[in-house]
Amino acid sequence: MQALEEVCRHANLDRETINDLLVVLDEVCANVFKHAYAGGEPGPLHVTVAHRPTPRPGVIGITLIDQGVPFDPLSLPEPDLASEAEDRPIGGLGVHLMRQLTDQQSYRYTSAAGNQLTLIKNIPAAQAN
Amino acid sequence: MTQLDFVATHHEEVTVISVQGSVDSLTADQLTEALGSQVSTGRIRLVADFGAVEYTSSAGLRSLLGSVKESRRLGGDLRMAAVQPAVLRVLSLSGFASIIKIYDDVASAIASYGAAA
Repeated sequence: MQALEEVCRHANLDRETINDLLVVLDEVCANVFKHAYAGGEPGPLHVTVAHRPTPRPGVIGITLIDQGVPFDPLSLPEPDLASEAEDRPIGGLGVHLMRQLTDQQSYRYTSAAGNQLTLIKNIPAAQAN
Repeated sequence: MTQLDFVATHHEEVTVISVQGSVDSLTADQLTEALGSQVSTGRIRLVADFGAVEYTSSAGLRSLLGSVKESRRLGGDLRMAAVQPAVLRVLSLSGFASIIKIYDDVASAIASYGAAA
């Protein structure tokens, strides 16, 4: 979380965009702990956050690599957002938010590298240096 | 660092829980506990003052939805006040803005219970 904040500050992003990315990072990390390492066994999670300033206005990229069981979060169905509170299942919203708050998502799995999830958020033009 | 702070203030039958911090998968249980402890003691007309909450992930939404369901089941409600833009965006993207009543400020949220009673 701190590394993400530092990259975002370096990229001169406003607080709202930083908060969006902090939500995304929480969702994807929680997802790895819930699904890839579902048995509760410990395992590595490698997170990379990068700012690419060109072509302007640039992007923030987040990549997560874990060695857990193959799990593609992008394969999950969209949650039902229209039901009343009493009918609404608790949960299932994390991947939805991750999709909504980033601009590109990709997933791949190889037996050598494990799960790799890459998320790209376009920096709003008004915030580019 | 991964800590939420709460202040509970009672206004007759309405209890305002002022939350400070960010609600994520590491802190959402604290929010669940703070809201649940009010409901379990019969304080079922709740206002969650989110004026000092910078962001919430889906873990926070789960906590809020659980409290909304439980308080409504008992005849009360959980309403939100002073929600900041990043939190409001997450609530809207998740369809929660139509489930939870949201007010501009705490006073309006408290007053809404009088109007609805």
